[in-house]
Amino acid sequence: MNGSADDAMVRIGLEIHCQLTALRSKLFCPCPAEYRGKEPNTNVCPVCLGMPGTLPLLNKRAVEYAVMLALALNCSIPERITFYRKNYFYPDLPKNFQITQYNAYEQASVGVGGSIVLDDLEGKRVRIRRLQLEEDPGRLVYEGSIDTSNYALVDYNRAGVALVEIVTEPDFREPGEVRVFLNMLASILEHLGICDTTLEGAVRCDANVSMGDQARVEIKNINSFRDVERAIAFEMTRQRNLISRGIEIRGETRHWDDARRVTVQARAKEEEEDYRYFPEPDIPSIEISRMDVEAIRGSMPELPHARVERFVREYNLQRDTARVLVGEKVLADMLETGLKYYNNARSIANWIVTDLKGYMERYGGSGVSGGGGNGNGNGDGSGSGSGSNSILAKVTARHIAELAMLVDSGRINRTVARQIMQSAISTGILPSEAVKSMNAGMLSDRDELSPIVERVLKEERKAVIDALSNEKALNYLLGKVMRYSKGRADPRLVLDMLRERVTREGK
Amino acid sequence: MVGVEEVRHLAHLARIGMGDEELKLYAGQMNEVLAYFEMLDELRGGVELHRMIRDYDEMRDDVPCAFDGDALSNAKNTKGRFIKAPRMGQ
Amino acid sequence: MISMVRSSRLALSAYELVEEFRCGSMSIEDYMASLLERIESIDGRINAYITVNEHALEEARKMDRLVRAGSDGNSNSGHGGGDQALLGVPLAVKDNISTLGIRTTCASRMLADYVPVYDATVVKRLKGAGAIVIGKTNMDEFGMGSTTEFSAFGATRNPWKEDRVAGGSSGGSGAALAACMASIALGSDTGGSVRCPASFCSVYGLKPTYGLLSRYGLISYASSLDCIGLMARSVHDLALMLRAAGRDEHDHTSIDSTLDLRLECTDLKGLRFALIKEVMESEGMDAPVRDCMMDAVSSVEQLGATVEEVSMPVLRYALASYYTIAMAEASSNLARYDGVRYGHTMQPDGVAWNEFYSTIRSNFGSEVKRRIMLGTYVLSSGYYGRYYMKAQQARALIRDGMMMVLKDHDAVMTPTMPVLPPRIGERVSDPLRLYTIDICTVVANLAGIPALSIPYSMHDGLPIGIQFMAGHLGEPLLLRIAHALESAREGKVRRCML
Ligand SMILES: [Mg+2]
Ligand SMILES: [Zn+2]
Repeated sequence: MNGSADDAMVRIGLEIHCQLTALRSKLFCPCPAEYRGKEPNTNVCPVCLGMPGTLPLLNKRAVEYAVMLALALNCSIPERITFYRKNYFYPDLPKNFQITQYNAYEQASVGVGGSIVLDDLEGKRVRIRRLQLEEDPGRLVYEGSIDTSNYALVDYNRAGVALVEIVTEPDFREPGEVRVFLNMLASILEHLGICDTTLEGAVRCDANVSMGDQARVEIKNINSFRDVERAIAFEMTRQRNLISRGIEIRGETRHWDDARRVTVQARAKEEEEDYRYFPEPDIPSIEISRMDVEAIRGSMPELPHARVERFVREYNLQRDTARVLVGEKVLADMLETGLKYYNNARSIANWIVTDLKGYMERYGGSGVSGGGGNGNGNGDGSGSGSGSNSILAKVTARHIAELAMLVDSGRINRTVARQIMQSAISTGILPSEAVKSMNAGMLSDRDELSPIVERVLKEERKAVIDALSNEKALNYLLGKVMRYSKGRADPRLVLDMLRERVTREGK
Repeated sequence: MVGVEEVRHLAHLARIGMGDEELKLYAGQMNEVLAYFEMLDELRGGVELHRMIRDYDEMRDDVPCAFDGDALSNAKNTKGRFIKAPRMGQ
Repeated sequence: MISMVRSSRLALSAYELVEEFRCGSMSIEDYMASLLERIESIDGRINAYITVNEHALEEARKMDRLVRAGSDGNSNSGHGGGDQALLGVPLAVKDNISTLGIRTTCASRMLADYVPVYDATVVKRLKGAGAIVIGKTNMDEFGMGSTTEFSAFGATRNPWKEDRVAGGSSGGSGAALAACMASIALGSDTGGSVRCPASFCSVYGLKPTYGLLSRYGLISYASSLDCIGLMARSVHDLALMLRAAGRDEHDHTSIDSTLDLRLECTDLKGLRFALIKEVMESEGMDAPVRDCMMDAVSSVEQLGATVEEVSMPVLRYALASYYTIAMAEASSNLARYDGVRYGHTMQPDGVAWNEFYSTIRSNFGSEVKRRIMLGTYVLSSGYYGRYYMKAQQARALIRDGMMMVLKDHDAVMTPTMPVLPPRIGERVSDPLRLYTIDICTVVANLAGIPALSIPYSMHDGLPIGIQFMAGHLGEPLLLRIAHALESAREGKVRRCML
């Protein structure tokens, strides 16, 4: 690889589609928005099937949600938004046009010119070009593979579900930055409560990559957030190789093949379309007054940035810890719910960040999953909870709070606590209950414990003397007792006994 | 002026199958009509375009309601509950 | 079947019929049977209907039972919701308006066996008022034409002279009324499609203010111009049908309204009408039409109106603007007919998708294909600014121009059609020449204002209609004008033939 290819300025931009999963009905018809897990073509009506004579009916709340997101991404919001038709033929598109928004002739979309600051990248600012509302297409299914199947099967259940499309400026320089951005975006979506990013296919991402003054390459069909990084990395390597051999990069669309982990050239014919955009005549332009926008802003929940600051201020957390928690809303929520059971934020936060998060990663990826193609993949079937979700179904804020309290109060040590956590993951049993049942075999009789305590005091003279001036040395002695009792000793009682004896020796 | 090749491309965009004779016929007729439309180009900008405007509050409330008929009763190519469509690609 | 109803009764207006049905002097079933008999005997020649409702008689019988139940009780009106203002009235519906369970073809091979799973809002409302759908009427395919010759089911003939066209695209509805095969009719009007056949068939044709009648269920041709239109043989009937007006939650472009539709005044005192210089001086106008127009001017003056001529040079762009917008929207609206979910199709097995679509969609008629192709062209990148955008500018200028004229005048008066009904086959071969006869009608669609074609006179056995255009929601004024002329010209204009 020669120097010039390496030095070439890399520009990466994203086009992200998020379903507004919090909506109850589709974007332009009253069919339920929840299509997952339903029999094919049972979640449809004349409108979303584009039956002759039907007209789109815009979901008011979808506009509200899109405005919320636009505000959260610091976009400017026009006083009037307009829908456009994007005309192209595809079997998953019932009307053979998609109702979307388009800014070439006017500022028609819900938001433009936004930006987002990424603390995890030393305050790097990523610009948002536009944010728009549009309808999801249906889903194509092939029996066997796309190349051998004699026909396609269409399920229109998803057709008409509300999407927000977010387009960034090409402000990323490497795949890692993209990951940080996507995590931040997912956290914002979760905090606004408009998109459950853990549902399969709820968030989909296309990327574009260009190097230096070479042409731009689009990558489509990326089915998960993790693959976005992989696809971009592959594409950068591919382009660098070509450039180093003096070959010019062609502007084209490539598809991510997640099985082979490569990008492949899209069928040229598909991409030659001229979309013939024009304003959707069945939907009037929608006036959103400044008053409406302010009302929506006022109804918005706390956003990640503000929440991190509040955690630092109110709970005295380290900023890094706060960021990790807020990065996945469920974790931040867990902390705040946990405080109801045990008012020690630092301790609970510590448990979540060090232990719980570790378990979640071990048992199934991060909280965010992507999935589903952009209409032409083999589809995202019904979404099932990811691994981390199944842990969170068993381990609640109360579990973590109780664990933290039990350890802090010396009722159990960390080893026991981890055992309890492990059993909670499979059974959901509360730590306070677990401790009770462990107490059945616990040594909590002074007479039984006394010989062990005496033995330790005899063996550890130096520690006993230390303990006279330093309370912390008691913990060392407690550890010894626990070890000799094979963990069965009631730590609180032992601590009491040790304290009494040491005090007595001091006199 | 549209030539036969441009008309062929338009026929592809509109997915209307046409033979060469038909393409030629349409090219002729389209040119006649487009020549007439050409007068629109005399107009200069600065006009507020015709546009219907509604308050966002007048739009539909987010209340789900499942359709109670068989919306796909007209479909002829089906397999189970799926609609059969041509396969993509060549 | 032996008809129980004297044939002259078939010419009754809807409001007269309702009276007879209510007092029981005639049964709805008998009336319907006679009407069906007439369709059976003459529609083979006229070709006004594509489909006759096979349940019409049964529905009539049901209505009769309601009437009897009503008169047994304490109310003298029918039941079943609403005030039954159209109790038992046979309604012809243009075949691009969705009717639950009755096939709706748009006169196209593409939808030859398509059966809607819902009623259009207007149909639903008229049925709610007691009307019975008697059948679905012939039209130019998808509403694209002015003669009802572009139908996959053959041309409709003009009942007044059968070698002439009935007008279009709602030709079947016009002919059905003129030939007493229905009492009232629905059409659709994108650029004159209700007013043209009304004029050629000597009946009333109202294109309401855009949005006054819900478009839900009207199969789109050009959404920003499309209106469901009302056709009848009397002004009273139009007023009754306007009960279907008003905001519909299934159509965001529908509008609220409370119209005072009482017809009392029979003069035109104090009204100011405008003639448009550019229309009056146009070369394309047939001499008998011009004569008729002059006669109409003196009629309205005798009734107390004043008439002035105004100039509107911007109308020069009306046809180009109209056809550009209509074709652009049509090319997109008609993309959904691809043989996948409904309509004409073939087996998809092993067929590549582009080939599948192109093969299916080659079954559109020639005029529809022409307009889709032109619409595709004017929306293509690179041409949008030159055609579509400019057409929208022209539309805005025309709308503003009309608003200016209608600030100083109550209505604008033009012939409905500049020509007498052409012979069948006379104009279809030359698309551009065919488009030019819409010059007087497209203006109201571009401006979104109401317009009414009033049957005014006959020349050589061929009807001539006069059009009035009013401001936004000016329907009551249009009905008042028509009512005054109807009263003044009682006996001089025939509105149907038996
Ligand atoms: Mg998109
Ligand atoms: Zn639906």
